[in-house]
Amino acid sequence: MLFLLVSKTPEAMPELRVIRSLAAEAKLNIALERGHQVTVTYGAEMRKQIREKLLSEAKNQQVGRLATVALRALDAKDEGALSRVIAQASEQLDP
Amino acid sequence: LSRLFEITLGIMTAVGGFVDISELVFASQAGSRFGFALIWVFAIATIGISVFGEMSGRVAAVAKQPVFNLMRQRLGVRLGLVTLVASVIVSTITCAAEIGGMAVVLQLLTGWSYSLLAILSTFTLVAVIWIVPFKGIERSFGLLGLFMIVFVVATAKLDPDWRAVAQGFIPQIPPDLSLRSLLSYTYFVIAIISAVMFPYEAYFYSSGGIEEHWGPKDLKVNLLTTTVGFGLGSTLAIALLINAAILFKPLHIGPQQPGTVALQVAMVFGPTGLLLALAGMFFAISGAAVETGLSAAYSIAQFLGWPWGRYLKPHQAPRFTLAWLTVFIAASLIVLSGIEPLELVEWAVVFSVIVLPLTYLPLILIANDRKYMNQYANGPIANALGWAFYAIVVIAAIGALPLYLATSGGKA
Repeated sequence: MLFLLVSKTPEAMPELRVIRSLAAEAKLNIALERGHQVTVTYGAEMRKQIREKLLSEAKNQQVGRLATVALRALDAKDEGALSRVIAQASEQLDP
Repeated sequence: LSRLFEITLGIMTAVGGFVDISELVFASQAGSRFGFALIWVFAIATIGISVFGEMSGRVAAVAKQPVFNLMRQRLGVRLGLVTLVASVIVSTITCAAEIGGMAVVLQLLTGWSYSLLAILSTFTLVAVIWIVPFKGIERSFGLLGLFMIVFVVATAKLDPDWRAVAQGFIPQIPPDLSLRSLLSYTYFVIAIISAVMFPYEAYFYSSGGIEEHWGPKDLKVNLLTTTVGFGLGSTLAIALLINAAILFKPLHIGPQQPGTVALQVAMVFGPTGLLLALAGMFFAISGAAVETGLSAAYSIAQFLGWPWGRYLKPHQAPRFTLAWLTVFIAASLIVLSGIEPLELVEWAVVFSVIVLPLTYLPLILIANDRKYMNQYANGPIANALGWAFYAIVVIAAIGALPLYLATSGGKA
């Protein structure tokens, strides 16, 4: 019953919510690293952990493209590109 | 004076030991997704664990019975065995989640390999349990977990809209939720109840009472620890939720890494705050790892009637010692298999809530039984609260798995 109810709703997939959060976590981490608000080790390790999760999401057929864009933005420490990923995911999640 | 010191220390230990990796995760995710709207669940679940914690401590002190002895007597061998197997599986998964969480925090501090840190964490836990007496283990992890207070200080510094926070204590369903979000909200309600009322807490608490040879004279300490200690402990979890609502929600962060939770403090106090937050998380999670690992061994030994307890030397309770060593080895193998701590937390929370009714039923029955409890049996208030919370955990147990599957663990 629950599954039928959920499947009839138009909202996008849980994976999209995960990618949006990962992109937002990456963006915040990069901003705090720039402002020396976190230690160097913490910043580097967090990026590594987020990268691993995005890599695994990139294999998903439905949201893989967005995860790949987020991955490139993370590697380039491009906060602007991460913002665009967040905005794109938000458009689909909360149309 | 020494009695007062003992009570204060007990309360502080309960505060520092209240939060574990599941509360870190679910409080932060709940705040970032639904703002202050789930504070009431933490408040209600804290009353629930206080009620059952007090009952389990009282039964341990008066009837000298730990939870799994009662289970075999009251549920019968067959149903008791089912509960035992389920509880040991859940405790082992939870222990794995905590060890994984320890490794993640250490990785953020050192940059070393996750697998190596998971192995080192397990060895350290085993060595501490082997060497340090029960009271020392309980006190040291509980008191070091008080570093978590830095999250409450961050909340005070953030100075939230306190009226809105107060409204969060009123049970509610936020307006304008889509069906999917409503189901996720309901899943979070159940997950928070489960995370706060984890069955291992009752096993560990009552077994601890017997380890420390509690008697009726300790009932006041028991009452204060389970009410004041757990109540203050839940403010740590509520602070995590409030901080996440203020800092993470506007940024669309629903923490997917345990390490992200520490950013709540880094955003307010910078790198020093970050290190304090990581220290608090590490000790809180380590304490929970010890509790879950020992709880599984307590359950097995009590159910099978083996000599048990850390007050016995390992050679005096060899099967109990082998049981907790096996649990820690199994938990570390789960971590090394590559399953992420957050995934383990979700499984632990869902399966724990299913075990909860079987854990608490025999406890209420014995706490009511004047043959065992004499004048210390449940009064009308303890009874009413006990059965009310029992009804809540039964409903939560029925809804847990379908909601977990339907909402992909609250992410829908």
